[in-house]
Amino acid sequence: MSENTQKNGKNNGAGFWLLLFGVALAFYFINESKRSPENVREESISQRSPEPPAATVTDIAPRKISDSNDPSATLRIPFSRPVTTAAVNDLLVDPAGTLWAATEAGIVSIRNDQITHYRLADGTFPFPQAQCLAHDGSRLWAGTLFGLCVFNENKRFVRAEASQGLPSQMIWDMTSDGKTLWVGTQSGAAFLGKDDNFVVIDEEGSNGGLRQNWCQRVFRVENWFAASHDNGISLWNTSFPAANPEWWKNIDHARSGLTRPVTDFAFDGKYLWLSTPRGVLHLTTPVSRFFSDFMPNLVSYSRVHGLPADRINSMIHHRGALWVATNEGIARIKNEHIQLISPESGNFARHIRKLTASGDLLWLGTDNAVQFINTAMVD
Amino acid sequence: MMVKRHYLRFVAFLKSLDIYQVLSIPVLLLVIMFSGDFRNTDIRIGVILPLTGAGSLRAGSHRNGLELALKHINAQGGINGRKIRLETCDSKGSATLAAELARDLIYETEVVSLIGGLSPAETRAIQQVAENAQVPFLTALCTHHEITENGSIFTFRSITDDKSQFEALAEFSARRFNCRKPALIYDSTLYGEESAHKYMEICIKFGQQVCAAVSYQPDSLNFRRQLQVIQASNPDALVLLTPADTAAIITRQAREARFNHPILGGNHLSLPEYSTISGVYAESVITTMPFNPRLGGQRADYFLSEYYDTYSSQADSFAALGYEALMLEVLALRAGEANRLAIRNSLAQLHGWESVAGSGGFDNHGNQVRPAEIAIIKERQKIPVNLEALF
Repeated sequence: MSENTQKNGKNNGAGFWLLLFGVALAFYFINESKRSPENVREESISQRSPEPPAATVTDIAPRKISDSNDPSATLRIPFSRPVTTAAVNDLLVDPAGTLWAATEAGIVSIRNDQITHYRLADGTFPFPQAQCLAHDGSRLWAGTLFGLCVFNENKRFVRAEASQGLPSQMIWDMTSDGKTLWVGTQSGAAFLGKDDNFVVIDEEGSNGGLRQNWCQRVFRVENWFAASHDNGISLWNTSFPAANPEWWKNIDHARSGLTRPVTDFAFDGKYLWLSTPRGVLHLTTPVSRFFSDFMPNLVSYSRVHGLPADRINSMIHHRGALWVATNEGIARIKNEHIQLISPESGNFARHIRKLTASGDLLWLGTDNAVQFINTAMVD
Repeated sequence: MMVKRHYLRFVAFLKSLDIYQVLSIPVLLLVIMFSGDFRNTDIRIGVILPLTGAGSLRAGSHRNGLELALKHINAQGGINGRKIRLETCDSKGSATLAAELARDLIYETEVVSLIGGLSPAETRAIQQVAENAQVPFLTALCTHHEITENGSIFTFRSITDDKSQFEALAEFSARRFNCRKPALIYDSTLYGEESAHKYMEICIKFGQQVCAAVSYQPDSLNFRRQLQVIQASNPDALVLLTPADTAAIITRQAREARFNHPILGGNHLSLPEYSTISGVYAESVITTMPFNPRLGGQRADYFLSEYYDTYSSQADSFAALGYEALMLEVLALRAGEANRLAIRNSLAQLHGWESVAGSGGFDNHGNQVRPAEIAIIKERQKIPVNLEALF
C-alpha cells in the first residue's frame, strides 16, 4: 500500500512538473506575443511626418542656401553599428572619453565597446528616466525629471544632496563651463556655488530679467548665460548681478517670430545659433557685441533652404560646421552650404534626438539607439 | 458522497507532494498573476485639467463629458474585456503643476495616454513631458495654433484651432458684411498678442487689413480709451480676442459708444457668461461654435439626453468635446494594442470619424480638420449661420 502511494506520488510529481512547465511556456509565449515589435517603431512613427516621407535620405536633393543645385553636396559616409537603448534625451563625452547617454530608461555608458546600463531596476540609477548630463571637470551629473543625480565612487548614480536647493526637481537641461554646473528646471535656473549649494536665478530674483521660469535649455557662451523658456530667450551677462534686469537681453516669441520650443543652442565662435521647430536661426548680432549693440534680429534656415525637415531636435558646432539633427536625418551647414548626410553603409535611424562630438566622432542619439559617424571622412 | 471522494483524493494528492513541490505552488500562482497582468488589468488614461481656479467651469464640464464616455464604454465591456480607468488630476491652472502631474502619470501611474490642457502654457507643459517620454497626448480644449505646429509627433488636438476659427471669421465677415478694415482688441498677455498677430496674418488672405490693434491690461474694466482709438481709425468690424467676461464688457461699452459695425470673436463668445453679462448687447454678435449638436445627429441627441439624465444639467461644448476625446482614444485602442506607440499610431490614422460633434479627422500634424462653424447670437442663443433663416 505504502509502496503504491509512493509510486503514485512520483507519478503525480512528474505530472505536476510537466504542468508547471507547460503553464510557464504558455505564459512566456503569451507575453512575447504582447510585446510591440521594435523594428516597426521607426517606420510607424514616420507615418505622421510633417512632410511626405522620403524613401531614403538621398531622395531629398541637397541644395545650397544660395539655391544652386549641386549633387556632390550629398555626403555619403559609413555609420557605426547602433547600440540599442531607450529613447535618448542627452549625450555627453566625459574627459576620460566615455560616452554617456541619458535615456528614457536610465543611463547608458559606452567605452571601448563595453556597454553599461544604469537603471532603476538594477539599483544603479535612482529614477525611471534621465533627461540630461553634464560634467563639471570633477563630477558627472545626471539631471532627471525627478531630481539631480551624481555618479559616485561606487560606480552608481545617487541622488545629489544639492538637488534640494534647486527651484524645481524637474530638470530639463544642464550645462557646464568647465568649472560651474548650470541647471535649467521647470521653475527657474540655478548654478552650483563653491559651497555645493545652488544659487537660484528666477523671474522674481532677476526682477523680470529672466522673463519666464520654465528653462527648457541652458547654455554658456563667453560671459553670457542663455536660457530658452516659454516666452522666448533670455541672455544674462554673468559679469554683473542677475538681479539687475539691465544686464539681461530678451527675445520674445510673439514679437520676433521665434517658434516654441527652442530645442538647442550652438555657438560657432562668432554667432549664437538656435534650433526650433521652424529650422535653425542665428542672431545677427555677434556674441562679442551683445553688450553694446544687441538687436534681436534672427536669420533662419529651414526645409526650403535644404534642411531635411523644419523641426530641429538638436545641433552642435563641430569641426567648423554646424551639424543639425532632425526627425528626417542629419545635415551639415558649412560656409553657408547645407549638405545632407546619408549612410554609405550601416543602419541609419532617421529620428535623431541629440548630437554630441568628441574628436572626429559625431555621436547620434536616436529614438532607440546610439551610434556615430567619423566626421574626418567627410571632407 | 462524490464530494467526499474528491476531497479524499485531493488530500491524498497533496500528501504525495514533497516539500519543494508544495513550495512551488505559490510561485506558480505568482507567475500566473504577473504574466496575466493581474496587477493592472485596467487601461489607464491620464487626465490633467484645471478643475479649480480660472477655467474650472469649462474643465468641470469637460471632465463630466469624459466620465460619461467612460461610463458608456465600460458598460459595453471596455476594450477587449479590459476596463478603462481615468486618472484625473487637477492642475489648478498652473503650468508647473501640470508638468509635474504629467510626469507622475507617465512614469509612476504608467498611463498609456494623456488627455487635457486648457490654457496654452499648461498645454505646452504637458506636451513637452509627453513628447519627451513618447506618450500620446490629446487636447480637446486648447486652441492655440502652435500646439500642433511645433513638429510634435505624439500630440493630437480634437478641437478646431484658432487658425481655423480666424479664417472662418475673416472669410464670413468679408463675404457677409464686406468688411475690409477690422479692428482688434486683445489682452496684453502673451496669448492675446500671439492671437492678434495670427489674426492680422490670416485676414490678409481675405482682402482685409487690420486698421487698429489695441491691447489692454488684464483686469481692466473700462475700455473707453481703447474704443476711442479704434473708432478714430474708422473700422468696419471689431474682433474681440479676449476672455468671455471681458469681451462682454467691451461689447456693452462699444454698443453704448454707438459702434454699429459687426462684432466678432472666437469660441470665447459662445460661452454662456458672454451672453449673460452682455445681455441684449450680444444681439447679432458673430462667433465660432466648437459644438453644434445638429452636426452630431443621433449621437449628439443620445449624448445630450444621457448627459442631462446623469448630471441634471444641459451639456455644453466642453462636455461634448470631452466625450468625443475619450471616444477617439477608444477608437485608437480598438484599432491596436493598449500600448503608447500603438495608440499614437492608431490616432495618427484616424480620419473621417463620426462623433457627437460631427465628422472629424487629424491632419499630418495631428490637428483637427473639422472647419470652424460660424454662429450668430440671437436672443442669447447661438444660431449656426446656415440655419439663420429658420429663426
